[in-house]
Amino acid sequence: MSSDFPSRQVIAETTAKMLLEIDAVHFSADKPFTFTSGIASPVYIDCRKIISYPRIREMITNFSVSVILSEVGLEQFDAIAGGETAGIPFAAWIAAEMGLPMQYVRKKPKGFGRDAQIEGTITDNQRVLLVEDLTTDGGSKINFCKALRKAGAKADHTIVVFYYDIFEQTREKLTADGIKLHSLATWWDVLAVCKAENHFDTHTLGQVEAFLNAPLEWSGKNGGATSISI
Amino acid sequence: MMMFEHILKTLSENGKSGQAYSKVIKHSEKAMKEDSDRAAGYLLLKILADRFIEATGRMATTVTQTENEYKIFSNHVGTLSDAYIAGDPAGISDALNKVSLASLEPFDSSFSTI
Repeated sequence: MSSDFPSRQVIAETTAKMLLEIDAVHFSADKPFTFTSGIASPVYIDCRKIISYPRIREMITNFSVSVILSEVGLEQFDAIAGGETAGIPFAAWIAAEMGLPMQYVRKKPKGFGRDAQIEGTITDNQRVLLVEDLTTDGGSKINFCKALRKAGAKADHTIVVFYYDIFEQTREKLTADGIKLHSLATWWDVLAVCKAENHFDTHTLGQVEAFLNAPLEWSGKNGGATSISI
Repeated sequence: MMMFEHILKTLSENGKSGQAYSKVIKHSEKAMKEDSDRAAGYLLLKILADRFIEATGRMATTVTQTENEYKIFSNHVGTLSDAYIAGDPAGISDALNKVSLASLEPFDSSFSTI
């Protein structure tokens, strides 16, 4: 079955190239960005830009469906849920491609009740795939999956376009919460394309690589937090 | 005005980040109950912190955005703290109105500020 799907390497490299093509990737070693966790970082990515590029978003949708079908199975989901806000358009395209119902999960509950955080119809034991644009430390995926579970769904898988893949705690925490993460590309894939195609100067790429190898250490040296809590 | 200082310290010690503003919201809600005479002031700080989180989502911010927002927030904390220390009801009302109006100012999400 998996031989009918594009290889993970092709998906990762092509996704990285598309993100660079639309300037979704920013590197700034001298004036770092601040993550929500307080970590200082020379890297920034805005996957929301994808929605404005029809050919790229179609490719991203096809890759996502391909990853899900090959890594999980052809009949393993009953519905697709997007995480508010950035996950919603990606969830809609994947749901359309897979011919499945869709919901979206609010960041915060709207009042009381079991379904207070869910928009759309959800049923008991419905197998729901959570879709988001990216994951840094996995925290929001856990919150969204908990909301889906509270509403009665079975939410054990999530797919993102981009996974930072720099914090060891991310997969450990997701696994502990019974969530399997699927992704199209990581910072390592973007770095590999940047090196191969001479994007950015060598000093910047050196700083980016130093950050990816030891993010908390790099953050500390650049005025940011030295630990994360998920 | 220990609680106001504590809120500002929380922001500073947590990297002035989204997570820091989330902690400010929790501290402000707690302070509203424990120091209810100043509940309106803490509510405004909660609104200002929420404004940062709503504007940035879980996206990273640039150095300029981070520092600008911290400066604005610090000024508002100072305005409220000074008014409550002075204790003049008219002055407190003025400070609350001033910060209320300022909370309507939109967040500068311009990415040209890297």
